[in-house]
Amino acid sequence: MLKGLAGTLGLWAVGAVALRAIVIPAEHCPPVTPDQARASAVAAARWIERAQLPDGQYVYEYDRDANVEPGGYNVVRHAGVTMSLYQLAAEGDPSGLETADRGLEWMIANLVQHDDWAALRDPYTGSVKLGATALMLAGLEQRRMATGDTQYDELMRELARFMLVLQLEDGAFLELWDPATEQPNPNQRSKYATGEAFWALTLMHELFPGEGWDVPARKVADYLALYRDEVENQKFPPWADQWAAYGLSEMADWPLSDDHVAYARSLAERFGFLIRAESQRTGSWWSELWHGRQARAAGMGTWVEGLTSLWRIAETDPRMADMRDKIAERAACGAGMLYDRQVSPEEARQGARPQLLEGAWFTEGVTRMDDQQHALSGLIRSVEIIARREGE
Amino acid sequence: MSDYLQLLVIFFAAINPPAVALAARDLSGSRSGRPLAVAGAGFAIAAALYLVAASVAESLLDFLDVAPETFRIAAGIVMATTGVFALWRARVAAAPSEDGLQDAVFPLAIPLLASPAGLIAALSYGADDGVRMAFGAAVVPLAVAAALAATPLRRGEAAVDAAARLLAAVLVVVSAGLIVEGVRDI
Repeated sequence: MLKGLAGTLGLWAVGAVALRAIVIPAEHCPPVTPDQARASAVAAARWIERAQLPDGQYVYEYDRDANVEPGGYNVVRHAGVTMSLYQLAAEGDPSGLETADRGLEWMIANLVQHDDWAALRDPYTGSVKLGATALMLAGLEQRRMATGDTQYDELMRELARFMLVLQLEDGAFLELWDPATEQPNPNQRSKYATGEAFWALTLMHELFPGEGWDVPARKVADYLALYRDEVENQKFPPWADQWAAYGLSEMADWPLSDDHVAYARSLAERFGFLIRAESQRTGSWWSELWHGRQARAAGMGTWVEGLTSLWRIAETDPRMADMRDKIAERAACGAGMLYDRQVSPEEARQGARPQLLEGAWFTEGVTRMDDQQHALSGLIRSVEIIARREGE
Repeated sequence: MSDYLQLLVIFFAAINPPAVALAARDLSGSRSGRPLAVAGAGFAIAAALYLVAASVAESLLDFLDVAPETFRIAAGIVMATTGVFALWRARVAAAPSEDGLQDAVFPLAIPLLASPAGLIAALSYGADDGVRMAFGAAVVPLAVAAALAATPLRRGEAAVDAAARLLAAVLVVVSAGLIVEGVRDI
Protein backbone atom coordinates (compact mmCIF):
# COMPACT_ATOMS: atom_id res chain seq x y z
CA MET A 1 0.00 0.00 0.00
CA LEU A 2 2.73 2.43 1.01
CA LYS A 3 4.66 1.80 -2.18
CA GLY A 4 1.61 2.47 -4.32
CA LEU A 5 0.67 5.55 -2.34
CA ALA A 6 4.20 6.92 -2.49
CA GLY A 7 4.35 6.28 -6.21
CA THR A 8 1.04 8.07 -6.76
CA LEU A 9 1.98 11.07 -4.62
CA GLY A 10 5.38 11.21 -6.32
CA LEU A 11 3.71 11.31 -9.72
CA TRP A 12 1.38 14.07 -8.53
CA ALA A 13 4.34 16.05 -7.23
CA VAL A 14 6.09 15.83 -10.61
CA GLY A 15 2.87 16.96 -12.30
CA ALA A 16 2.46 19.86 -9.87
CA VAL A 17 6.04 21.02 -10.45
CA ALA A 18 5.58 20.85 -14.22
CA LEU A 19 2.32 22.76 -13.96
CA ARG A 20 3.98 25.43 -11.84
CA ALA A 21 6.99 25.73 -14.14
CA ILE A 22 5.04 25.83 -17.38
CA VAL A 23 1.44 26.94 -16.91
CA ILE A 24 1.26 28.90 -13.68
CA PRO A 25 4.55 30.59 -12.84
CA ALA A 26 4.24 33.37 -10.26
CA GLU A 27 2.54 36.55 -11.43
CA HIS A 28 4.94 39.30 -10.50
CA CYS A 29 3.30 42.69 -9.87
CA PRO A 30 5.97 45.06 -8.50
CA PRO A 31 4.58 47.48 -5.93
CA VAL A 32 4.21 51.10 -7.01
CA THR A 33 2.97 54.12 -5.08
CA PRO A 34 1.02 57.00 -6.64
CA ASP A 35 4.10 59.23 -6.34
CA GLN A 36 6.30 56.66 -8.02
CA ALA A 37 3.81 56.19 -10.85
CA ARG A 38 3.63 59.96 -11.37
CA ALA A 39 7.42 60.33 -11.22
CA SER A 40 7.78 57.51 -13.73
CA ALA A 41 5.34 59.24 -16.12
CA VAL A 42 7.20 62.52 -15.72
CA ALA A 43 10.53 60.78 -16.39
CA ALA A 44 9.04 59.47 -19.64
CA ALA A 45 7.94 63.01 -20.51
CA ARG A 46 11.50 64.23 -19.86
CA TRP A 47 12.79 61.58 -22.28
CA ILE A 48 10.41 62.89 -24.96
CA GLU A 49 11.60 66.42 -24.23
CA ARG A 50 15.28 65.48 -24.58
CA ALA A 51 14.51 63.46 -27.70
CA GLN A 52 12.85 66.40 -29.43
CA LEU A 53 14.63 67.76 -32.49
CA PRO A 54 14.78 71.50 -33.28
CA ASP A 55 11.95 71.23 -35.86
CA GLY A 56 9.56 69.68 -33.33
CA GLN A 57 9.95 66.04 -34.37
CA TYR A 58 11.28 63.44 -31.93
CA VAL A 59 13.99 60.78 -32.06
CA TYR A 60 11.97 57.92 -33.50
CA GLU A 61 14.07 54.99 -32.30
CA TYR A 62 17.25 54.50 -30.34
CA ASP A 63 19.31 51.31 -30.24
CA ARG A 64 21.32 51.39 -27.04
CA ASP A 65 23.47 48.38 -27.88
CA ALA A 66 24.71 49.87 -31.14
CA ASN A 67 24.31 53.45 -29.88
CA VAL A 68 22.54 54.47 -33.08
CA GLU A 69 19.25 56.01 -34.09
CA PRO A 70 18.01 53.68 -36.83
CA GLY A 71 15.89 56.48 -38.32
CA GLY A 72 12.48 56.38 -39.95
CA TYR A 73 9.46 58.32 -38.80
CA ASN A 74 5.77 57.82 -38.26
CA VAL A 75 3.43 60.77 -38.26
CA VAL A 76 0.68 58.92 -36.36
CA ARG A 77 3.13 58.20 -33.56
CA HIS A 78 4.32 61.81 -33.63
CA ALA A 79 0.75 62.90 -32.97
CA GLY A 80 0.39 60.26 -30.27
CA VAL A 81 3.57 61.26 -28.44
CA THR A 82 2.53 64.90 -28.51
CA MET A 83 -0.93 63.97 -27.28
CA SER A 84 0.55 62.09 -24.31
CA LEU A 85 2.35 65.25 -23.16
CA TYR A 86 -0.92 67.17 -23.29
CA GLN A 87 -2.54 64.31 -21.41
CA LEU A 88 0.07 64.73 -18.69
CA ALA A 89 -0.83 68.42 -18.54
CA ALA A 90 -4.54 67.59 -18.34
CA GLU A 91 -3.71 65.34 -15.38
CA GLY A 92 -2.15 68.30 -13.60
CA ASP A 93 1.50 68.42 -14.70
CA PRO A 94 2.12 71.18 -17.28
CA SER A 95 5.89 70.57 -17.47
CA GLY A 96 5.66 69.03 -20.94
CA LEU A 97 3.56 71.76 -22.54
CA GLU A 98 6.38 73.59 -24.31
CA THR A 99 7.67 70.39 -25.85
CA ALA A 100 4.15 69.42 -26.87
CA ASP A 101 3.55 72.84 -28.43
CA ARG A 102 6.70 72.45 -30.53
CA GLY A 103 5.39 69.05 -31.63
CA LEU A 104 2.07 70.71 -32.43
CA GLU A 105 3.74 73.42 -34.53
CA TRP A 106 5.32 70.68 -36.65
CA MET A 107 1.88 69.15 -37.20
CA ILE A 108 0.30 72.50 -38.05
CA ALA A 109 3.04 73.06 -40.62
CA ASN A 110 2.05 69.79 -42.26
CA LEU A 111 -1.69 70.28 -42.51
CA VAL A 112 -3.61 69.81 -45.70
CA GLN A 113 -6.72 71.97 -46.14
CA HIS A 114 -9.66 70.94 -48.33
CA ASP A 115 -13.22 72.19 -48.45
CA ASP A 116 -14.15 72.93 -44.84
CA TRP A 117 -11.74 70.48 -43.24
CA ALA A 118 -8.09 70.07 -42.34
CA ALA A 119 -5.99 66.95 -41.91
CA LEU A 120 -2.46 66.03 -40.93
CA ARG A 121 -0.38 64.97 -43.92
CA ASP A 122 2.69 62.78 -43.67
CA PRO A 123 5.46 64.95 -45.17
CA TYR A 124 7.56 61.88 -46.02
CA THR A 125 4.97 59.85 -47.92
CA GLY A 126 2.31 62.42 -48.72
CA SER A 127 -0.36 60.15 -47.22
CA VAL A 128 -3.27 61.63 -45.29
CA LYS A 129 -4.19 59.14 -42.59
CA LEU A 130 -7.17 59.21 -40.28
CA GLY A 131 -5.10 58.06 -37.27
CA ALA A 132 -2.66 60.96 -37.49
CA THR A 133 -5.47 63.52 -37.63
CA ALA A 134 -7.45 61.79 -34.89
CA LEU A 135 -4.52 61.78 -32.49
CA MET A 136 -3.62 65.36 -33.38
CA LEU A 137 -7.21 66.30 -32.55
CA ALA A 138 -7.10 64.27 -29.32
CA GLY A 139 -3.92 66.12 -28.40
CA LEU A 140 -5.54 69.50 -29.03
CA GLU A 141 -8.52 68.42 -26.95
CA GLN A 142 -6.26 67.44 -24.07
CA ARG A 143 -4.43 70.75 -24.48
CA ARG A 144 -7.68 72.66 -24.25
CA MET A 145 -8.75 70.75 -21.16
CA ALA A 146 -5.36 71.40 -19.59
CA THR A 147 -5.02 75.10 -20.44
CA GLY A 148 -8.49 76.40 -21.32
CA ASP A 149 -6.83 78.06 -24.34
CA THR A 150 -9.40 78.44 -27.14
CA GLN A 151 -7.06 79.51 -29.97
CA TYR A 152 -7.26 76.09 -31.70
CA ASP A 153 -11.02 75.56 -31.38
CA GLU A 154 -11.70 76.20 -35.06
CA LEU A 155 -8.80 73.97 -36.10
CA MET A 156 -10.25 71.24 -33.90
CA ARG A 157 -13.58 71.50 -35.70
CA GLU A 158 -11.81 71.33 -39.08
CA LEU A 159 -9.92 68.20 -38.04
CA ALA A 160 -13.12 66.61 -36.74
CA ARG A 161 -14.91 67.40 -40.02
CA PHE A 162 -12.14 65.60 -41.90
CA MET A 163 -12.79 62.51 -39.83
CA LEU A 164 -16.46 62.63 -40.74
CA VAL A 165 -15.49 62.67 -44.44
CA LEU A 166 -13.99 59.22 -43.84
CA GLN A 167 -16.88 57.82 -41.80
CA LEU A 168 -19.00 55.12 -43.43
CA GLU A 169 -22.71 54.41 -43.06
CA ASP A 170 -22.07 51.61 -40.56
CA GLY A 171 -20.11 53.96 -38.30
CA ALA A 172 -16.68 52.63 -39.27
CA PHE A 173 -13.96 54.81 -40.73
CA LEU A 174 -11.81 54.52 -43.81
CA GLU A 175 -8.14 54.98 -43.08
CA LEU A 176 -6.88 57.14 -45.94
CA TRP A 177 -7.79 60.18 -47.95
CA ASP A 178 -6.16 60.09 -51.35
CA PRO A 179 -4.73 63.50 -52.35
CA ALA A 180 -4.50 62.37 -56.00
CA THR A 181 -8.20 61.61 -56.40
CA GLU A 182 -9.25 63.97 -53.61
CA GLN A 183 -11.44 61.17 -52.33
CA PRO A 184 -11.27 58.69 -49.42
CA ASN A 185 -9.61 55.41 -50.34
CA PRO A 186 -12.61 53.03 -50.18
CA ASN A 187 -10.56 49.87 -49.68
CA GLN A 188 -8.71 50.44 -46.47
CA ARG A 189 -9.78 50.38 -42.84
CA SER A 190 -7.46 50.45 -39.85
CA LYS A 191 -7.84 48.52 -36.64
CA TYR A 192 -6.23 51.39 -34.76
CA ALA A 193 -7.61 54.51 -36.39
CA THR A 194 -11.31 53.83 -35.90
CA GLY A 195 -10.86 53.79 -32.13
CA GLU A 196 -8.65 56.88 -32.26
CA ALA A 197 -11.28 58.78 -34.23
CA PHE A 198 -13.99 57.54 -31.89
CA TRP A 199 -12.20 58.89 -28.83
CA ALA A 200 -11.50 62.23 -30.52
CA LEU A 201 -15.19 62.58 -31.44
CA THR A 202 -16.37 61.82 -27.90
CA LEU A 203 -14.02 64.52 -26.60
CA MET A 204 -15.39 66.95 -29.20
CA HIS A 205 -18.84 66.40 -27.73
CA GLU A 206 -17.48 66.89 -24.22
CA LEU A 207 -15.84 70.19 -25.21
CA PHE A 208 -18.49 71.45 -27.59
CA PRO A 209 -21.82 70.01 -26.47
CA GLY A 210 -24.72 70.93 -28.69
CA GLU A 211 -22.68 70.88 -31.91
CA GLY A 212 -23.79 67.33 -32.72
CA TRP A 213 -20.49 65.45 -32.38
CA ASP A 214 -22.23 62.84 -30.23
CA VAL A 215 -24.20 61.53 -33.23
CA PRO A 216 -21.21 60.20 -35.21
CA ALA A 217 -19.56 59.18 -31.93
CA ARG A 218 -22.51 56.96 -30.98
CA LYS A 219 -22.53 55.52 -34.48
CA VAL A 220 -18.92 54.45 -34.24
CA ALA A 221 -19.46 53.15 -30.69
CA ASP A 222 -22.17 50.86 -32.06
CA TYR A 223 -19.87 49.71 -34.84
CA LEU A 224 -17.05 48.94 -32.40
CA ALA A 225 -19.32 47.17 -29.96
CA LEU A 226 -21.35 45.13 -32.40
CA TYR A 227 -19.71 44.69 -35.78
CA ARG A 228 -16.02 45.63 -35.92
CA ASP A 229 -14.49 42.32 -34.90
CA GLU A 230 -16.52 40.45 -37.48
CA VAL A 231 -16.24 42.96 -40.31
CA GLU A 232 -12.49 43.36 -39.81
CA ASN A 233 -11.90 39.62 -39.28
CA GLN A 234 -10.43 39.77 -35.81
CA LYS A 235 -9.21 36.24 -35.12
CA PHE A 236 -9.33 36.56 -31.32
CA PRO A 237 -12.01 39.15 -30.57
CA PRO A 238 -12.27 41.60 -29.05
CA TRP A 239 -9.38 43.53 -30.50
CA ALA A 240 -7.59 45.00 -27.46
CA ASP A 241 -8.42 48.58 -28.41
CA GLN A 242 -7.48 51.07 -25.72
CA TRP A 243 -8.71 53.93 -27.91
CA ALA A 244 -12.19 52.43 -27.86
CA ALA A 245 -11.91 52.20 -24.07
CA TYR A 246 -10.96 55.88 -23.91
CA GLY A 247 -14.00 56.78 -25.98
CA LEU A 248 -16.37 54.61 -23.97
CA SER A 249 -15.14 56.17 -20.73
CA GLU A 250 -15.96 59.63 -22.12
CA MET A 251 -19.45 58.34 -22.92
CA ALA A 252 -19.98 56.84 -19.46
CA ASP A 253 -22.43 59.55 -18.43
CA TRP A 254 -24.15 60.00 -21.81
CA PRO A 255 -25.00 57.07 -20.87
CA LEU A 256 -23.71 53.89 -22.55
CA SER A 257 -26.10 51.38 -24.11
CA ASP A 258 -26.18 47.77 -22.92
CA ASP A 259 -24.21 46.76 -26.02
CA HIS A 260 -21.52 49.31 -25.22
CA VAL A 261 -21.28 48.02 -21.66
CA ALA A 262 -21.03 44.42 -22.88
CA TYR A 263 -18.21 45.50 -25.17
CA ALA A 264 -16.51 47.43 -22.37
CA ARG A 265 -16.68 44.34 -20.17
CA SER A 266 -15.12 42.20 -22.88
CA LEU A 267 -12.33 44.76 -23.27
CA ALA A 268 -11.67 44.70 -19.52
CA GLU A 269 -11.42 40.93 -19.64
CA ARG A 270 -8.99 41.06 -22.55
CA PHE A 271 -6.74 43.72 -21.01
CA GLY A 272 -6.85 41.89 -17.67
CA PHE A 273 -5.73 38.65 -19.28
CA LEU A 274 -2.92 40.42 -21.13
CA ILE A 275 -1.66 41.94 -17.88
CA ARG A 276 -1.87 38.57 -16.09
CA ALA A 277 0.06 36.86 -18.87
CA GLU A 278 2.68 39.62 -18.93
CA SER A 279 3.15 39.43 -15.16
CA GLN A 280 4.22 35.78 -15.59
CA ARG A 281 7.03 36.71 -17.99
CA THR A 282 10.43 37.12 -16.41
CA GLY A 283 12.63 37.55 -19.46
CA SER A 284 14.54 34.33 -18.71
CA TRP A 285 15.06 31.79 -21.53
CA TRP A 286 12.68 29.40 -19.77
CA SER A 287 10.00 32.04 -19.48
CA GLU A 288 10.49 33.07 -23.11
CA LEU A 289 10.24 29.43 -24.19
CA TRP A 290 6.80 28.93 -22.64
CA HIS A 291 5.34 32.42 -22.32
CA GLY A 292 7.08 34.44 -25.00
CA ARG A 293 9.08 37.64 -24.88
CA GLN A 294 8.24 40.44 -22.47
CA ALA A 295 5.93 42.96 -24.10
CA ARG A 296 7.31 46.31 -25.13
CA ALA A 297 6.16 49.34 -23.18
CA ALA A 298 4.16 50.53 -26.18
CA GLY A 299 2.05 47.38 -25.80
CA MET A 300 1.85 47.16 -22.03
CA GLY A 301 1.16 50.88 -21.77
CA THR A 302 -1.91 50.51 -24.00
CA TRP A 303 -3.29 47.78 -21.72
CA VAL A 304 -2.91 50.04 -18.70
CA GLU A 305 -4.48 52.92 -20.64
CA GLY A 306 -7.40 50.68 -21.53
CA LEU A 307 -7.87 49.47 -17.97
CA THR A 308 -7.70 52.96 -16.51
CA SER A 309 -10.43 54.08 -18.90
CA LEU A 310 -12.60 51.07 -18.10
CA TRP A 311 -12.08 51.66 -14.39
CA ARG A 312 -13.61 55.09 -14.86
CA ILE A 313 -16.69 53.46 -16.40
CA ALA A 314 -16.85 50.94 -13.54
CA GLU A 315 -16.75 53.87 -11.12
CA THR A 316 -19.87 55.44 -12.59
CA ASP A 317 -21.87 52.70 -14.30
CA PRO A 318 -23.46 50.07 -12.04
CA ARG A 319 -23.45 47.60 -14.92
CA MET A 320 -19.67 47.42 -14.59
CA ALA A 321 -19.33 48.01 -10.88
CA ASP A 322 -18.62 44.33 -10.15
CA MET A 323 -15.43 44.59 -12.21
CA ARG A 324 -14.09 47.71 -10.56
CA ASP A 325 -11.72 46.13 -8.05
CA LYS A 326 -10.30 43.60 -10.48
CA ILE A 327 -9.75 46.29 -13.10
CA ALA A 328 -7.97 48.40 -10.49
CA GLU A 329 -5.83 45.43 -9.46
CA ARG A 330 -4.74 44.73 -13.03
CA ALA A 331 -4.13 48.41 -13.81
CA ALA A 332 -1.96 48.75 -10.71
CA CYS A 333 -0.10 45.59 -11.68
CA GLY A 334 0.59 46.99 -15.16
CA ALA A 335 1.72 50.31 -13.73
CA GLY A 336 4.02 48.46 -11.32
CA MET A 337 5.61 46.51 -14.15
CA LEU A 338 6.11 49.70 -16.17
CA TYR A 339 7.68 51.46 -13.19
CA ASP A 340 9.91 48.48 -12.52
CA ARG A 341 11.17 48.16 -16.10
CA GLN A 342 11.90 51.83 -16.77
CA VAL A 343 15.57 52.86 -17.11
CA SER A 344 16.57 54.63 -13.92
CA PRO A 345 19.00 57.61 -13.78
CA GLU A 346 21.67 55.32 -12.27
CA GLU A 347 21.34 52.79 -15.08
CA ALA A 348 21.32 55.57 -17.67
CA ARG A 349 24.59 57.03 -16.42
CA GLN A 350 26.34 53.82 -17.37
CA GLY A 351 25.25 54.04 -21.02
CA ALA A 352 26.74 55.87 -23.97
CA ARG A 353 23.91 58.42 -24.24
CA PRO A 354 22.23 58.79 -20.86
CA GLN A 355 19.82 61.38 -22.24
CA LEU A 356 18.25 58.74 -24.52
CA LEU A 357 18.30 56.07 -21.86
CA GLU A 358 16.88 57.65 -18.73
CA GLY A 359 13.12 57.36 -18.40
CA ALA A 360 12.80 55.04 -21.40
CA TRP A 361 11.76 51.42 -21.88
CA PHE A 362 13.84 49.12 -24.06
CA THR A 363 12.91 45.88 -25.78
CA GLU A 364 15.83 43.88 -27.17
CA GLY A 365 17.98 46.98 -26.81
CA VAL A 366 15.68 49.32 -28.72
CA THR A 367 13.26 52.01 -27.60
CA ARG A 368 10.76 53.72 -29.88
CA MET A 369 9.13 57.02 -29.07
CA ASP A 370 5.69 55.48 -28.60
CA ASP A 371 7.09 53.23 -25.86
CA GLN A 372 7.37 56.39 -23.80
CA GLN A 373 4.02 57.71 -25.05
CA HIS A 374 1.88 54.76 -24.02
CA ALA A 375 3.76 54.10 -20.78
CA LEU A 376 3.41 57.78 -19.84
CA SER A 377 -0.33 57.77 -20.56
CA GLY A 378 -0.92 54.53 -18.70
CA LEU A 379 1.13 55.56 -15.68
CA ILE A 380 -0.32 59.02 -15.25
CA ARG A 381 -3.88 57.71 -15.55
CA SER A 382 -3.19 54.94 -13.03
CA VAL A 383 -2.09 57.37 -10.27
CA GLU A 384 -5.65 57.88 -9.04
CA ILE A 385 -6.40 54.16 -9.09
CA ILE A 386 -3.27 53.29 -7.11
CA ALA A 387 -4.05 56.04 -4.60
CA ARG A 388 -7.61 54.76 -4.18
CA ARG A 389 -6.37 51.21 -3.67
CA GLU A 390 -3.93 52.43 -1.03
CA GLY A 391 -6.74 54.25 0.75
CA GLU A 392 -9.08 51.26 0.82
CA MET B 1 -28.78 26.34 -13.58
CA SER B 2 -27.87 27.62 -10.14
CA ASP B 3 -24.21 28.01 -9.20
CA TYR B 4 -24.45 25.10 -6.79
CA LEU B 5 -26.02 22.75 -9.34
CA GLN B 6 -23.35 23.73 -11.83
CA LEU B 7 -20.63 22.91 -9.31
CA LEU B 8 -22.36 19.64 -8.50
CA VAL B 9 -22.22 18.58 -12.17
CA ILE B 10 -18.57 19.59 -12.35
CA PHE B 11 -17.63 17.57 -9.27
CA PHE B 12 -19.66 14.58 -10.45
CA ALA B 13 -17.62 14.68 -13.64
CA ALA B 14 -14.32 15.21 -11.82
CA ILE B 15 -14.87 12.45 -9.23
CA ASN B 16 -16.72 10.18 -11.66
CA PRO B 17 -18.54 7.74 -9.31
CA PRO B 18 -19.18 5.09 -12.00
CA ALA B 19 -15.44 4.96 -12.81
CA VAL B 20 -14.72 4.59 -9.07
CA ALA B 21 -17.27 1.74 -8.91
CA LEU B 22 -15.57 -0.05 -11.80
CA ALA B 23 -12.13 0.30 -10.26
CA ALA B 24 -13.40 -0.72 -6.80
CA ARG B 25 -14.71 -3.98 -8.27
CA ASP B 26 -11.12 -5.16 -8.56
CA LEU B 27 -10.64 -4.47 -4.86
CA SER B 28 -13.71 -6.17 -3.49
CA GLY B 29 -12.10 -9.62 -3.37
CA SER B 30 -9.42 -8.46 -0.96
CA ARG B 31 -11.60 -6.66 1.51
CA SER B 32 -12.19 -9.61 3.82
CA GLY B 33 -15.88 -8.98 3.73
CA ARG B 34 -15.66 -5.40 5.03
CA PRO B 35 -16.62 -3.33 1.99
CA LEU B 36 -18.63 -0.84 4.02
CA ALA B 37 -15.78 -0.14 6.40
CA VAL B 38 -13.32 0.28 3.54
CA ALA B 39 -15.66 2.59 1.63
CA GLY B 40 -16.47 4.57 4.77
CA ALA B 41 -12.84 5.07 5.67
CA GLY B 42 -11.98 5.93 2.07
CA PHE B 43 -14.80 8.48 1.98
CA ALA B 44 -13.67 10.07 5.27
CA ILE B 45 -10.05 10.42 4.11
CA ALA B 46 -11.02 11.77 0.71
CA ALA B 47 -13.58 14.17 2.17
CA ALA B 48 -10.92 15.51 4.54
CA LEU B 49 -8.58 16.07 1.59
CA TYR B 50 -11.28 17.93 -0.36
CA LEU B 51 -12.07 20.04 2.69
CA VAL B 52 -8.41 20.94 3.14
CA ALA B 53 -8.03 21.72 -0.58
CA ALA B 54 -11.06 24.01 -0.64
CA SER B 55 -10.06 25.68 2.65
CA VAL B 56 -6.47 26.47 1.73
CA ALA B 57 -7.22 27.39 -1.89
CA GLU B 58 -7.12 31.15 -1.45
CA SER B 59 -4.02 31.19 0.76
CA LEU B 60 -2.27 28.71 -1.50
CA LEU B 61 -2.88 30.82 -4.61
CA ASP B 62 -1.72 33.90 -2.71
CA PHE B 63 1.42 32.05 -1.65
CA LEU B 64 2.03 30.95 -5.25
CA ASP B 65 1.32 34.49 -6.57
CA VAL B 66 -1.24 33.17 -9.00
CA ALA B 67 -4.58 34.84 -9.71
CA PRO B 68 -7.63 32.54 -9.40
CA GLU B 69 -8.40 33.35 -13.04
CA THR B 70 -4.99 32.06 -14.13
CA PHE B 71 -5.28 29.00 -11.91
CA ARG B 72 -8.47 28.08 -13.75
CA ILE B 73 -6.37 27.47 -16.85
CA ALA B 74 -4.14 25.04 -14.94
CA ALA B 75 -7.14 23.34 -13.36
CA GLY B 76 -8.76 23.02 -16.78
CA ILE B 77 -5.66 21.39 -18.22
CA VAL B 78 -5.43 18.82 -15.41
CA MET B 79 -9.15 18.08 -15.56
CA ALA B 80 -9.13 17.78 -19.34
CA THR B 81 -6.19 15.39 -19.23
CA THR B 82 -7.96 13.23 -16.64
CA GLY B 83 -11.17 13.39 -18.66
CA VAL B 84 -9.49 12.29 -21.88
CA PHE B 85 -7.78 9.43 -20.05
CA ALA B 86 -11.04 8.31 -18.45
CA LEU B 87 -12.82 8.58 -21.77
CA TRP B 88 -10.27 6.30 -23.32
CA ARG B 89 -10.19 3.86 -20.42
CA ALA B 90 -13.09 4.20 -17.99
CA ARG B 91 -11.66 1.74 -15.49
CA VAL B 92 -8.63 3.00 -13.59
CA ALA B 93 -6.09 0.31 -12.69
CA ALA B 94 -6.33 -0.36 -8.96
CA ALA B 95 -3.95 -2.77 -7.28
CA PRO B 96 -5.46 -4.32 -4.15
CA SER B 97 -3.43 -4.60 -0.97
CA GLU B 98 -3.00 -7.65 1.26
CA ASP B 99 -4.99 -6.07 4.08
CA GLY B 100 -8.39 -4.99 2.82
CA LEU B 101 -8.60 -1.95 5.10
CA GLN B 102 -5.46 -0.47 3.64
CA ASP B 103 -7.38 -0.24 0.37
CA ALA B 104 -9.31 2.55 2.00
CA VAL B 105 -6.22 4.76 1.84
CA PHE B 106 -4.78 3.49 -1.39
CA PRO B 107 -6.21 3.22 -3.95
CA LEU B 108 -9.73 4.11 -2.82
CA ALA B 109 -9.16 7.46 -1.09
CA ILE B 110 -6.10 8.30 -3.17
CA PRO B 111 -6.28 8.39 -6.15
CA LEU B 112 -9.80 7.08 -6.90
CA LEU B 113 -11.94 9.38 -4.75
CA ALA B 114 -9.42 12.17 -4.23
CA SER B 115 -8.22 12.33 -7.81
CA PRO B 116 -6.03 15.02 -9.36
CA ALA B 117 -9.07 16.32 -11.27
CA GLY B 118 -11.24 16.43 -8.18
CA LEU B 119 -8.66 18.02 -5.93
CA ILE B 120 -7.61 20.70 -8.41
CA ALA B 121 -11.30 21.45 -8.99
CA ALA B 122 -11.68 21.86 -5.21
CA LEU B 123 -8.74 24.28 -5.21
CA SER B 124 -10.02 26.29 -8.16
CA TYR B 125 -13.64 26.49 -7.06
CA GLY B 126 -12.65 26.89 -3.44
CA ALA B 127 -10.77 30.05 -4.43
CA ASP B 128 -13.60 31.27 -6.69
CA ASP B 129 -16.75 30.29 -4.81
CA GLY B 130 -15.65 29.70 -1.23
CA VAL B 131 -15.11 26.62 0.90
CA ARG B 132 -18.76 25.94 1.64
CA MET B 133 -19.87 25.92 -1.99
CA ALA B 134 -16.92 23.91 -3.27
CA PHE B 135 -16.89 21.33 -0.49
CA GLY B 136 -20.67 21.16 -0.43
CA ALA B 137 -20.66 20.28 -4.12
CA ALA B 138 -17.77 17.81 -3.85
CA VAL B 139 -19.09 15.84 -0.93
CA VAL B 140 -22.24 14.61 -2.73
CA PRO B 141 -20.53 12.78 -5.63
CA LEU B 142 -17.90 11.67 -3.16
CA ALA B 143 -20.58 9.97 -1.06
CA VAL B 144 -22.19 8.46 -4.16
CA ALA B 145 -18.81 7.13 -5.30
CA ALA B 146 -18.06 5.65 -1.88
CA ALA B 147 -21.49 4.04 -1.77
CA LEU B 148 -20.96 2.51 -5.20
CA ALA B 149 -17.55 1.29 -4.13
CA ALA B 150 -19.13 -0.46 -1.16
CA THR B 151 -21.59 -2.25 -3.40
CA PRO B 152 -20.02 -5.12 -5.32
CA LEU B 153 -20.82 -4.75 -8.98
CA ARG B 154 -22.47 -7.99 -10.06
CA ARG B 155 -24.14 -6.97 -13.30
CA GLY B 156 -24.72 -3.98 -15.51
CA GLU B 157 -21.00 -3.39 -15.97
CA ALA B 158 -21.54 -2.17 -19.52
CA ALA B 159 -24.01 0.47 -18.34
CA VAL B 160 -21.68 1.64 -15.59
CA ASP B 161 -18.82 1.77 -18.08
CA ALA B 162 -20.95 3.88 -20.41
CA ALA B 163 -21.90 6.21 -17.58
CA ALA B 164 -18.24 6.57 -16.60
CA ARG B 165 -17.28 7.49 -20.15
CA LEU B 166 -20.20 9.89 -20.41
CA LEU B 167 -19.05 11.69 -17.25
CA ALA B 168 -15.51 11.72 -18.62
CA ALA B 169 -16.83 13.46 -21.73
CA VAL B 170 -18.65 15.96 -19.52
CA LEU B 171 -15.37 16.56 -17.69
CA VAL B 172 -13.58 17.34 -20.95
CA VAL B 173 -16.29 19.83 -21.91
CA VAL B 174 -16.30 21.44 -18.45
CA SER B 175 -12.50 21.69 -18.52
CA ALA B 176 -12.54 23.38 -21.89
CA GLY B 177 -15.01 25.88 -20.48
CA LEU B 178 -12.81 26.43 -17.46
CA ILE B 179 -9.76 27.12 -19.64
CA VAL B 180 -11.74 29.55 -21.77
CA GLU B 181 -13.00 31.25 -18.61
CA GLY B 182 -9.44 31.51 -17.32
CA VAL B 183 -8.35 33.16 -20.54
CA ARG B 184 -11.37 35.43 -20.87
CA ASP B 185 -11.82 36.60 -17.32
CA ILE B 186 -10.21 39.75 -16.15
